[in-house]
Amino acid sequence: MLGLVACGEPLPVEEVERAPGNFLAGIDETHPIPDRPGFYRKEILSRGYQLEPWRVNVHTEPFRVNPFSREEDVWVTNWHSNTENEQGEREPDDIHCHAIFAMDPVLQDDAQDFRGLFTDGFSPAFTLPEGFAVRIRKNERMMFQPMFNNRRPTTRVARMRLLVDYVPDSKRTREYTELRASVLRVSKRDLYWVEPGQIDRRQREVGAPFQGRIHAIGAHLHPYGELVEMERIRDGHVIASLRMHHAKKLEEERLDILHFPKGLYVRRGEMLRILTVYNNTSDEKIDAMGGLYVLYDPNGKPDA
Amino acid sequence: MTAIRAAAVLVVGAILGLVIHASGLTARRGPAQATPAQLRVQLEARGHPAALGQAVPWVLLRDAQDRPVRHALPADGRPVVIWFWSCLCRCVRDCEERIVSLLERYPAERVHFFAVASNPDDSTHDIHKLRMSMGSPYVVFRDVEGATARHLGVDASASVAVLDGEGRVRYRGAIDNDLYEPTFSYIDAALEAILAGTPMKHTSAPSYGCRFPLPARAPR
Repeated sequence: MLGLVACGEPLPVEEVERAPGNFLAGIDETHPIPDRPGFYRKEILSRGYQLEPWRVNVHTEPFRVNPFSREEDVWVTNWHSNTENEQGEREPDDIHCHAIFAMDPVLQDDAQDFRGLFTDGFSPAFTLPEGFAVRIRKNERMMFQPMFNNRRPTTRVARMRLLVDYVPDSKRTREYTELRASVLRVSKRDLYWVEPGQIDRRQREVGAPFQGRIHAIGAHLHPYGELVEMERIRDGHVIASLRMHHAKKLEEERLDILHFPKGLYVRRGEMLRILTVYNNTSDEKIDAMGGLYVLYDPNGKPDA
Repeated sequence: MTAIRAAAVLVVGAILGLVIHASGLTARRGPAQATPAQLRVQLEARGHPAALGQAVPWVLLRDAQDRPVRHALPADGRPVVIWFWSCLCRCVRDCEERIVSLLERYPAERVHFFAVASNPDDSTHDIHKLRMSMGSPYVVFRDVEGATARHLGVDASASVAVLDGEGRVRYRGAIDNDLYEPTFSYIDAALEAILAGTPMKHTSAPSYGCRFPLPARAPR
């Protein structure tokens, strides 16, 4: 029997909330968007996380944000994310690994089907095609899990800011098709490594964990990433090919986001090949991840 | 047969958990009563982790009424393992089998074991639900805004703090060296060293679990 004995008087709850170290701090606010009538922007700023030197793919403890609305469902059309240091100054996007903003924990080591948003350091702004949205139910407390990289020899502190634009159901002026999401990864492990001077082509075959019409795809790569592709194995059709657009400054590099207004039908269990290419032109071993964030309409029908 | 065995494990786990939970949360007159003001001072001081080798006589946990209360740690000669748990961190689920196996190797006659959920978003209901679904044969207490994690110097879920029989912190960090394919168990090494009275080879290891946020600045 565990000999854990309560001793002393309880501490008043208000004292705990005032004490430093409270998990519940951070920003979680909503404001109207002046140039988009009926739309609001939810701003979430995570607490700071300490990143030791050379630590990459640092997962953080997920936390739940306040409901978007207590009275009605809302429709999310676009979102924006970035990382900041402790003083609120913008940090290069390579410190932003990725983030999950979902109803429940998303187990990223296998193909998953969920309702929510995904962010990537090289695609900080994600806009859905016209007429499509992620629906968030009234009173839902979505879970936010930022993930960071520190590729420097010094300890850094990082926070992630997420801006989510949405329209409440009563204020929308058009119909939206509700999209669900899935993450498809190129490797079972989160992270892998590419040796200096090496071009690494990695692929994984996976059964589609969803069924419906795909309307948008984003990707996740680390620095020196070149490409992520999704191919339908039965006929060799490349459904999506997303490239990294390199720039002189790492923080200016951008990764494609693809829109499919008419949609691409995928059947549950259909075998897909996920391919990732890295070109390590540096003289050091580099960290790598690769995967796709797929937004689909579960009610979408096959082509006639 | 497998289903019956699984159901039996769940039922036994549930009963055991409830018994232990009730026992642990029974308010008793402790050896050192403290006023709420004194407790607040102690809570604030817990922003600084205990040093390795430092004795930790009590931790701050929530009681059955969700109130923050000091809980005395056992110091009866048996080591204490505190497993930092979370409903939302998938690493905790991934490690569950290893933790159950650890409890089989180190039963309660040899080692005290309990879990602490430091994420305040983990409600009692969520914790109970996940424990039942995994059949976890141990009790999970709720931390007070991460105060116990910070005080024990644990910076992520799916990590442990190991105290020796005199209540001194001897190890903190990951239970082993890899989430997917571990080849070395830090927690086994720590417990063996404590039980045998030999020097510790590893007193800490980086955690692969979900990182806790840094403490917020003190309010003005």
